[in-house]
This record gives sequence, structure tokens and C-alpha cells, in this order.
Amino acid sequence: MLETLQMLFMGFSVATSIENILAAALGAILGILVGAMPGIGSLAGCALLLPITFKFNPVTAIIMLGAIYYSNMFGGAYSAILINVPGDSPAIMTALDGYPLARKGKAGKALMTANFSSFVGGIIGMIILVFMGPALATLGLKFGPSEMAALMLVAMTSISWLVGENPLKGIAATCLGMMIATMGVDKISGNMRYDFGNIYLLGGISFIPLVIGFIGLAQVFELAETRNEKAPMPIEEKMDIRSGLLTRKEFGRIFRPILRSSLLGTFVGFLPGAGATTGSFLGYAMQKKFGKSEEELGTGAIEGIAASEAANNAAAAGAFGPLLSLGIPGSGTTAVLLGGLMMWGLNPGPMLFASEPEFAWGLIASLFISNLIALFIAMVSIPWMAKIIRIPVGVMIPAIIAICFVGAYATTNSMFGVVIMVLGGIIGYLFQKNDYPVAPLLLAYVLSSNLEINVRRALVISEGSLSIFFTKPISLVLMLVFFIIVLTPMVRGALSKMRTKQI
Amino acid sequence: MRKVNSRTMIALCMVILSLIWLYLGIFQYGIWDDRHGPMPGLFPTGIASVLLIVGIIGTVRSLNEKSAVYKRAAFEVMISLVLLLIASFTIGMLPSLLIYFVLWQIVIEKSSKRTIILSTLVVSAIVLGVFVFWLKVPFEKGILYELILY
Repeated sequence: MLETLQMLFMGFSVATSIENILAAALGAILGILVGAMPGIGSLAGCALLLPITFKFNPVTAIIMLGAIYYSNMFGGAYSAILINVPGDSPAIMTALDGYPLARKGKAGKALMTANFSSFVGGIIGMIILVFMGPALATLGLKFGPSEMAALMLVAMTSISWLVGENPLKGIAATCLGMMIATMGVDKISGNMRYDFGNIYLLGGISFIPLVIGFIGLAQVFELAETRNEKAPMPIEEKMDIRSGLLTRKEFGRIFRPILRSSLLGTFVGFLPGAGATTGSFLGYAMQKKFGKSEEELGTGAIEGIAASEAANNAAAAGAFGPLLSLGIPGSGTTAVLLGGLMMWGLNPGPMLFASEPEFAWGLIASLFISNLIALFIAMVSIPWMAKIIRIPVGVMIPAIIAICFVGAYATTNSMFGVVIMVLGGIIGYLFQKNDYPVAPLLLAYVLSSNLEINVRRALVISEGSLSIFFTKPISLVLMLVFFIIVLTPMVRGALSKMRTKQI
Repeated sequence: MRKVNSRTMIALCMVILSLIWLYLGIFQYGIWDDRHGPMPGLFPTGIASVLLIVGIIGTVRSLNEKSAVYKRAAFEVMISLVLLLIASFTIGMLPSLLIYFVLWQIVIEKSSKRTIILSTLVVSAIVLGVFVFWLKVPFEKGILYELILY
């Protein structure tokens, strides 16, 4: 434990350099802004803002990306509370009580509750991350190629299982992501494959143009479809920080929900495939089942806001655990972060804490700083946030397109990146329209290379026998989990069809 | 009612893609070598086999599914993007984006002059400030520029 604290202090010495603090502050501001704008969300936000981190060194760049992701959770609550449109999916549950409370003329109080709960939830999640992250990495060190391959299969399929109602479409998206990742140089033999004689495909498909297209540009098509719908008007109440301050009694009311949701949220964040959205849903559900509140949940209870906001921020912090310790992202957004890490030559996994301690602990320490900065910015921005979320969709569409174009070009320094981005956007839009989840595709893309390396190494060890995945205890358990994850929705679907036929 | 729709088309595309991956994986890159072990085609072939099965099931199922509902506005954006791509190749990316942004505000959104000027200034400041001056990205200058220069 003492060693962990020493490493954390070392991390703080990295995170508190002027450059890193400024990067965290910039990330926090951008994250809150992007999170607050309805229709963008943390995934698209991180994808769009990824290119602007190129100028930094890898540690600073990831600190900024971490701050963007993390502060998005703060921002999402603004539009949920002020216009009843969650800026991001984790804020869906916040809208249930936040908006009714705002309608009662207490928008400032609702925002302050959300900010404070987010802050405390995040801190609790980060404290758990400090101790659980290295422990998870130590466990990961025991993993050989077969165990790592099985773990990656679980990570990839669990997100397909959670996203969307049709598991087959999740599997299809996962396979497509892996197939795209196989284009270019084979990392083991050095041979070219699936380049179709095109010089631009020799290095494979770049991750950033792909993710900007699939997420950022696809979002533009969705926005265009809803362009003519009447935009919800924000609450017109004049808000200031003083009127929003919580009383001692109100602090007492939200103390238990915050504590409960923070612990639950962190645990959920550590699970592969379950991110901040699942955390906030479960946090709210737990409050509904076990908690007490002065007002009924759903009518403007601050306990409801506190439960969902604390849970989603704790889950966001917890998600860094498997990401850094095992190289397994828990959600689409953390998949983008993993893509960024790999782009800068960092390889998250069990060795990261040992081989790159400055980076790993610097990032964890920076989360504490980003949390504090995000709280400060979120609080001072309360009076004018209602104006920001009023930016018309008509302005947002060409603005996002411009950022998509320059961002995709900046990554590859060629128009090929832009073409990939546009194609990715169109495919992403068609995927959304036809209920194919995009997050598993991105997750599969970033994990594919490591999965292939581990599968091939395992097969070399076993001389081609697949039994290696079923004879070692850890990989056997993981493979069983993998099959349960894949088969459960199919069996459930078949059973419900049989029941419907019987009726 | 059995009818081909966009869901069928997507599933069929996946079947075709998986067949291409399977063919190249098996016949060009190789699956297994007794001396070297797994070959570059092994992993992609395995994944493509799964996609082939999922694609076939998806195609059959899609025939009984309702087609997705599309709105014209999304396709208008797609067409505008293709035009923007062509313009970027011709007159360069930054001028194309500026024209695109202003034209969108005037023609599609019919925004007020104030909104157009303000939003153009903000977006230009971001693009020029971050990408041109800070990141020093050498943006595509277009064929016309090359023709004038040489």
C-alpha cells in the first residue's frame, strides 16, 4: 500500500507540471462544452478532439484526452437538467429528476447537486482505481497468450451483448472491426495483406479517420434528420452560484445515495462492456429500490440526481482500471482512448505499470486534478451554460463537418484519410439506421491486433491445438464466460419466440 | 412479407466481404505452415468465417424485417460531402470548407447575417488557430493551385 501511495505521489509530480495542468484544464473545458451540447456525446467528443492532442507528448496528450472523457460526464448533466435532453447517454437518468427540479425553479440547485455528486463519485472511483488498478495488473502478469486471447474475446463480445437488442448484429460489427484491422502489414510475419494493391492501404486503415467518420460524421447525419424539429427551449430561470448552493440538510440527503452509487459505479466501470451509462442506470435503480427520498423519484428528487451522477462518474473513473491494467476498454469511448494510447506507442496491459510508471501514475493522478478542475469550471459556468446549449443545430452541422475534415486530414496528411472518414461516416449512419452497434466495431478494431498476436502465439505453443484455450484454468473460465455471453441472448431469443408461438 | 431492403443489402455486403477475406486468406496468405505455424491468413479467415455465417443468417432474417426509415436531409448532407471532397481536390481544403460553411448557412439554414459572420469567425479561428498555426498541418492545396504555381 505504501508503495502504491509513493507511486501515486510520483504520478502527481508528473501531472502537476504546468503543461499537464494546462492540458487537463483545456480538456476539462472542452469536455464540459462537448458533453453539454445535445447530440454530440463523449464518444463523438473524444473522436473529434483526438487530432488536437497531436502536438503534445504522449503523457500530456492522454492526460488531456482523459480529462475530456471524464469532464464529459459533468457536461452531460447540463442539457439533461436544463432542456430535458441528455447531452450524453450516462445523463439519461439525471434528466428524470433534474428537469422536474429545474421546472420547479431550482435549476441551479439541480446543477449544483449534479456537479457535487459527480465530483465525489469520481474521487471515490479514483481512490478505488489507485489500489485496484495495480492489483489487476499483477493478476494480468499471470496471463499467458491463451488467457489474454480469451480475455479479449470476453471484452469484445460483452460490449456486443450489452449494446443493441440483436446480438447477431453486435457479432457482425465486431467481426467487421477485426477484419478492417487486419488490413496492412501482418505484425508477426511482416507480410502485406488485404492491401488490394493500393499504396494507401499498405499501413492499413488509420484509426482516427475511421473513428471520426463512424462516430463524428455519422452523428451529423442524425443531426441533419432532426434539424427541422423544434428545439427544446432551456429553462429561462436566471441562475447564479449562490442560489444553487446546497444546505447542510440537502448535503445530508444526498450523502448516502452518493456513497452507494459511487461504490456500485466503480465496480460497474471495472467490468468489460459496462461503462458509465450502465453505471448510472444501476445507481438510479438502486436508489429507487433501497434509498429514501423526500420527494418521489422522478418528480425532482435531488437523491435521484445524486445517485445517477455519482454512479456515472465513478464508472468513468473505474473504466480506467481494465484499460490501463489489462488493455481492455470497457466502452466505445475508452476504445478511442486505447486507440490514442496505441497511436503514441504506448501499450496498455499488465506491463504498463512496471514499464511506464510515469505515464500510468501520471494519468491516474491527472484524473484527480481534472476532477477538481472540472468541478470548478462546471460551477462557474452555471450562469451562462444555458446560452451555450442553445447553439442551433444548423450551425453545429457544418461546424462538425469542418472539424471532421480537418481532423481526418491532420492525422494522415493526405486526402485518403478524409475519404476514409467520409466512407466511415456513411457506413456508420447506415449501421445506426439498421440497428448495428458501432461501439463493438471500434472496440474490435483496437483489440484485434493484440488478439491475433496472442491467438497465434498460443497456437504456436500448442502446435496448432485449440485445446490450449480449454485446458488452462484461467482461460477455461474466460472461454466459458465468452460462450455464455454469446449464447445467452440467442437462447433467450429462441425461448421468447417459442413462448410467443405457444400463446 | 419477403422484400429486399437496406437491412438485406448490408447483410449481403457482409457476406461478400467475408468471401473476399476468406478467398485471399486461404489461397493467398495461407493458414498453417508445418514449420512456421500460423500464417497471416489464419486469423482473418477465422473471423471471416464467423461473419459469413452471421451474414447469411442476417440476410435471411432481414427479408422478414421492416426497412429502416431514411430522411432526405441525411442524403443531402452526403451529396454535399461528396461535392466538398471534389472541391477540396480542386481548389484546396480550407477554401472549400469556408465556402461550404457559409453556403450551408445561407442556402440550407437561411441564418441571419449576424449568425453567419459570428459562426464563420469562430469556426475559422478554430481551424486556422489549431490546425494551421499550431499543428502546422500542410492542408491539401488543390489541383488549381498546382496549375497556377507550375
